[in-house]
Amino acid sequence: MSHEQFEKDLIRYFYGELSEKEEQEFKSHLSSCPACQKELFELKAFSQTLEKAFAQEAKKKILERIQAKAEEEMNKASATWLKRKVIGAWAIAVLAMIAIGISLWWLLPERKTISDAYLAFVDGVQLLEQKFPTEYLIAYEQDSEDMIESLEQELEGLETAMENDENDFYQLEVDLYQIEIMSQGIFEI
Amino acid sequence: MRTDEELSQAWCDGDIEGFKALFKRYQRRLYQVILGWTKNPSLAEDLFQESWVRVIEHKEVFDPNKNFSSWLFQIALNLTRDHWRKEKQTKITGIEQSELIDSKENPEQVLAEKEAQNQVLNALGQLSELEQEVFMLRHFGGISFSEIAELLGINLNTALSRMHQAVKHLKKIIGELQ
Repeated sequence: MSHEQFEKDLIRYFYGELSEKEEQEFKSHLSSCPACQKELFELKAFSQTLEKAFAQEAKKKILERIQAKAEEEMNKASATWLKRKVIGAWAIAVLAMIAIGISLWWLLPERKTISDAYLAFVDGVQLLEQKFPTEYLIAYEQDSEDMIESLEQELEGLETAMENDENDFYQLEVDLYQIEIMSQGIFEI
Repeated sequence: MRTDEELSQAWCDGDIEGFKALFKRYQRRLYQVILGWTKNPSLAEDLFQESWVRVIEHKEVFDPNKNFSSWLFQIALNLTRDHWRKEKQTKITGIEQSELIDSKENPEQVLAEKEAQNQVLNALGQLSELEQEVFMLRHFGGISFSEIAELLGINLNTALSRMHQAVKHLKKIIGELQ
C-alpha cells in the first residue's frame, strides 16, 4: 500500500474506525514513517486545542428543564395509559355481561325469536278460528269479539316488531303471556 | 454499560431512567456539535433544548432498533439548517463573545480559554457548511463516517474527503492564529 493511502487512513485510525486488519497494517507503516508520525502528533495536539475550546456544556437550568420535560411527558403517557386501561376494563365488563346474557338466552330450553313466536301465534289464531268460528264465539260469549280484536292488535304489533327487526324477547314474552290470559286458556303459547 | 439500543428500548417501554442515561451520554456532545455549527452559545442552547424537546415529544415515532445518536443528531442538524435558512447572517457574523466559558475558574485561564474558543469558532466559520457538518459530527458528536454519510445523504468517500479538508483547514488556521 502506498504512503498516500496510509495518509488517507490516518484520520480513520485517529477516530478508531479502521478494521482490525487495517489497523495492524497502519501501525506497521506508522512505526517506520516519520511523516505519518508527525501528522498524527499534530492531529492529537489539534484535538486537544479543540477540546479546551469546547470545554463547556449547556447551562444547568437548561439540562434540568429538559429532564423535567421528559418526566412530564412520561407521566402524561402513563396517565393516558391508565385511563385507557380503565376504559378498556369497563368495555370488557360490559361486553362480558352482554355475552353472558346472550349465552344464557341461547341455553334456554326453548329458544324463541320474534319470527318463531309470530309463526306460532298465527298457527294458534288459525286453530282458534277453526275450532271456534267467530260467530260462535260471539254467540257464546259477548267478550269474545273484544278478545279477538285484542289478539289481532297483538298480531299487528308482532308484525311491526318483525318488520323493525326488533328482538326484544322479554317484551315478546310479556305480550304472549297477555294474549294467553286474554284467550282464557283457549290456546297456549 | 448498557447500549444505546437497550436504553432506547427501556425509555420507549416507559422507563425514564433509559432517557436519563441517554441524555447524560449525549447532552454534552450534542451541545458542542451545535455550538460548532452555530458558533453562538445562546443560539446553540436554544437549538440544543429544542432538539431534546423534539426527541421527547416524538418518542413514539422512534424505532428503538435504529441508531439513537443518528436520530438525535439528525434532528439537531435539521433544526440548525432551518435556522441557517432563516437567518443566514447569524451563521457568519453571530459569534457571541460573552458567556463562552464557564466562569468558575481563575480569570486569566478563563480569558485564555475564551480566546482559544473564539479562534476555533472563527476557524470553523471559514469552512464550508458541509465541512463543518462532517467535522463536528465526527469530532464532537462521535458519529462514525458511515453514519455521517447516511445522515447527510452523501457517500462515504465524500464524508472522508470533507473531513480531510476540514482538518487541514482548521489546523492551518489555528496554527496561524497561535
